[in-house]
Amino acid sequence: MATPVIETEGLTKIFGRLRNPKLAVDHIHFRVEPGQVYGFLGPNGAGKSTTIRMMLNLMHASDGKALIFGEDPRQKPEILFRVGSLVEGATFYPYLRGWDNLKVVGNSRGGFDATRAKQLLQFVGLVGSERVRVKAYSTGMKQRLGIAAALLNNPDLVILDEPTNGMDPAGIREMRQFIRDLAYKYGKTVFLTSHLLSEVQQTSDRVAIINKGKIVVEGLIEELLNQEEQLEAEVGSIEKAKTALQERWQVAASTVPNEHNKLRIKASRNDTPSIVRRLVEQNVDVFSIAPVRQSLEDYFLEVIGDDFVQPNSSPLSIGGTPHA
Amino acid sequence: METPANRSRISLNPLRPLLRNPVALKELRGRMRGPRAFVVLTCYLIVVGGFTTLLYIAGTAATYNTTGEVDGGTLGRVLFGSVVAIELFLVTFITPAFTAGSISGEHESQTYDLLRTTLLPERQLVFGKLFSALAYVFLLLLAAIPLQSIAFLFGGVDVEEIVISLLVLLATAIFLGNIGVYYSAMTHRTLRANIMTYVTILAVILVTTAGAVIALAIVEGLDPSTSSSGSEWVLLVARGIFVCLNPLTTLLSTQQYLVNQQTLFTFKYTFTDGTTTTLPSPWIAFTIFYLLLSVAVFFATTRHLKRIEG
Repeated sequence: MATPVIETEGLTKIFGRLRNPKLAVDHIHFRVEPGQVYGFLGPNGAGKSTTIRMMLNLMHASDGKALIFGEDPRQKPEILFRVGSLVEGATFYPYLRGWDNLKVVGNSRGGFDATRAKQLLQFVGLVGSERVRVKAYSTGMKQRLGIAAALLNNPDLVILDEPTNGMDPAGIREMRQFIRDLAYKYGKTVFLTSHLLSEVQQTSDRVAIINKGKIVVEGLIEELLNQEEQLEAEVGSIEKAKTALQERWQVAASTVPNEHNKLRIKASRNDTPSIVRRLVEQNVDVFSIAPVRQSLEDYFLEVIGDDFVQPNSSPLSIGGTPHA
Repeated sequence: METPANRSRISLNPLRPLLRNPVALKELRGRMRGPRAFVVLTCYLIVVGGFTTLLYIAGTAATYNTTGEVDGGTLGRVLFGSVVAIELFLVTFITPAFTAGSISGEHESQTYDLLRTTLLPERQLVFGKLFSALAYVFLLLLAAIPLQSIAFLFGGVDVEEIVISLLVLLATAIFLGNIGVYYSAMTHRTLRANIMTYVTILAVILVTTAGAVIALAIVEGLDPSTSSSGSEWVLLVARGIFVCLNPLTTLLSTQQYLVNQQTLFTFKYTFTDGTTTTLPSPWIAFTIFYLLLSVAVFFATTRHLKRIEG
């Protein structure tokens, strides 16, 4: 069995031990296997960045440990040479050009490879902008430069903390492609945190959902989302439809904002004729009915409950994915 | 065939290791960008030059000798001493301003993690910060050498004195720079680092000056009939320590020994009972002490940076 790329064992962080201690990360365990894109999800303040900081040896763990390629970075910091990271947003020296910022990062890591830097600029789509000072970069450009900087030393593990923060929809789509390419084209292992759940759903193989410092659920996305079949119906009256169906099926109003006349029914595709018949019998107008695959967002909201406040709602971050 | 490996072996550029320090390079670029560096240099030279002119005017009026001519030697020494004192004052206040924000500034601009995740060794980070700040201070000192050299026109000052003054100023700048970087590593706030640095420097200046003055007053007031050579030794050493801890008193006493005894590296001290002893000149003790202290502070800073955030 291959050594996991990341393995945490009871990783814990307590801030302010003496006065008013706050448990930020609570004995978390997870494993990331080679070649995986691993999504680490959670609301703001859940402990995502603290976990990453402990993994990268930027912060002491109060208890437990995080092993990178089977080694504890506290004992063997050089293992982190195999890691490229983008931690808490891409921050660079604004008065230096993009190219010079890459040079600082490369030289700090022991040597700057100009050929590789050029390839990476091409990969992240910044060719032509590398001679511009970073203070003139948009947030998306900075994030892309951050990815290029993280990949300079050709790492085996790439840790991306909220890589789509502040990006526009087109940038988010590009970032999704970068992440996919990293894993599936270049064979990197990617550890990704994000609150844009649809992005994680489309890029990750496996996810862990962290809330209040604890991992609430962890597993392969396919397994988590395919646990039960659902149908989504658009009806004239939600209340009347609920009354008509809840004798036989479990029904709930859609969690999608601004879709007040839609409801979710826990039923298989084969139940569709019976449901339509029942609704028509009860004089409920039916506009559409289709099986839906539960989205990661639905699942996340189900797991986290009311704790989650979407901090940066964008059209791409919300909504289920109906399958016709 | 020339490869990168043998190219680096045959390089005779002594600055190569310094210029390969990514932090030093970045800082030097940052420091010299825009008009700020040149404005500071110009203002510094205007202040030193202005004082030199004023001192020349005041000095020529005050140093007429008995024949009614200007005493060139005295004027030269007064001019030289005053320029060095002004430089010392400016270096004392400028150096910490360049270094106290060096590491805390990385925290404030959120670029500290960027450097830390590259696994850049702490000593390279501290050295890069220190080197870039001190390089600029050295530039200020070198730029003022022509003003110091005006004293040559009047006589009374040797080249050795200029070299010694430059060494003392450099040692002072290196120490103060290290103190600034140390406090900058201790806190994430530049304002706090600045306050801590200036308070420390002020304390060192006040304590050493007061100590030197008190010890000197006691030595001057010794009664040869009642004092023992043992107690005089203790006072001499105490005075020596205080004098050698303060750059101004170091320079003044070094110049005094140079003028009175014409010795560069040592001076003779005559006890009240008539016996004499030879001691190293204050500038030697000052330079060695502060350079060693700077090395200690440098390692304390890297040690502190090695500690991972709690």
